[in-house]
Amino acid sequence: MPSYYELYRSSTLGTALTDSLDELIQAGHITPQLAIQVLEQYDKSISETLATKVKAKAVMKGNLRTYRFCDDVWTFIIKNPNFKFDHDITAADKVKIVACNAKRPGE
Amino acid sequence: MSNSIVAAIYRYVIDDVVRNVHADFEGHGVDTSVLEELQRSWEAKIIQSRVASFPGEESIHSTIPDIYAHGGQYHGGARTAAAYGHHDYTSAAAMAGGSGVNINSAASLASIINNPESMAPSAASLASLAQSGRGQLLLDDDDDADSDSQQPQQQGHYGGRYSSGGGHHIPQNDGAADTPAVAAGAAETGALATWQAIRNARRLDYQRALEVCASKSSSGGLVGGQVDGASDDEDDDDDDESNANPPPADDSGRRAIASAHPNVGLAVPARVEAPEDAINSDLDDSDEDEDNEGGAEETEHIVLCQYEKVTRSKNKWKCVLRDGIMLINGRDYLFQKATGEFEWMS
Repeated sequence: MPSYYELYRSSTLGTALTDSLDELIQAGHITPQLAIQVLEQYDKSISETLATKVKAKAVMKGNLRTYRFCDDVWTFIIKNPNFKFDHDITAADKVKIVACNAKRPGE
Repeated sequence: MSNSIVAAIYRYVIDDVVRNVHADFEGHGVDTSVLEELQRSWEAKIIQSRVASFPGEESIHSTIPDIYAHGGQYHGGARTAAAYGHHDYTSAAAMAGGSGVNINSAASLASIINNPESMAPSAASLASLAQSGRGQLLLDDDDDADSDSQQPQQQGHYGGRYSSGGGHHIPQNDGAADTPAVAAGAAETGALATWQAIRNARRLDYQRALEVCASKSSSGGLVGGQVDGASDDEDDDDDDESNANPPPADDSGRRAIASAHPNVGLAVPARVEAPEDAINSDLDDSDEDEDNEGGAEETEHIVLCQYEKVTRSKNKWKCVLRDGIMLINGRDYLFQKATGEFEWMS
């Protein structure tokens, strides 16, 4: 079975799942092992869904304040970024981008 | 709205996960009702986060008065621990009595939307779970003695959770171990430690971001997206809530995730997270901590994605990114492809 990035566990969806699983563990309804299995399934589901179901495009621009490349992961801190989506534009004072290698080792 | 696809995608992922872990739940001997509860709780949290527009949200809103006509305590003033316990059980009993295993999800969602306190829904849901689960698992054991012995115990648990407020969540590490199902066996203890490391790591980063975002939007008078908004009319829940999920008192948990890379690495099976006070955390944290001390890296906007290409020409950087989830200004956006054009400012 191919492995999937755990990256997306930090998203809204992943955090909500983690919290829900945690509640079930605390209540004694599931074991931590089962919770971990669920999270691994989430890694797979979200990765495949993003790759196959999402068609949206985006453009980001801004001032690069910090960059880091370690263990095949890029991290950028962008100051005053602008985001252009298909039908929407938004801006922020700062954004952190965490990017794993699209070509995973072994692929 | 450009993030209109988000709700549909999230719905798809939730269904996909639930469908695929069904066998795992059976393999662990866990009742299907628990999986249903997981799905319900997960969906509720997503809706509550308001990172996307979910169709049907309005209709759920409109059904609130009907559903809660019998309970009404969510609208009431007395929000003591005892009141919570009481209400949880009445509503849970109503739900379990009405639909058996199938917890009325509309009611649950409505209660969450209606009641902005983040912890209250989970108490209600757990209580209902306890009820329905007991009905399920102990079918023949439904006599008075049983309910008398269990109910106060549960009530005590949740009561403690609320009355002790933020204090409760620090001992999350020992909280789970108190429950009999988890405390059984060394293998499970290992998994529990792993789980806690995972949970703490995911949670801190993101929730700190959301909190920053929420406080910004409320102070800025923006509508929507604020999770803390309605606590004005609560008694002491504000503190409870802000301390509800996050960090252990020290910053060691944060250090664990400050090393962003374990956080995003490949899913190595049973990757054992170092204990929070492990030696290597000193190595990992320096960069991020320095930045944090300057208050510079408190980023409330996050992009999680994969890169295809990162190039630089003089001070111009160009990134080709894909498969991204973005949290910007309290809204989630997804992209299949994105380009980043950045200018390095020395």
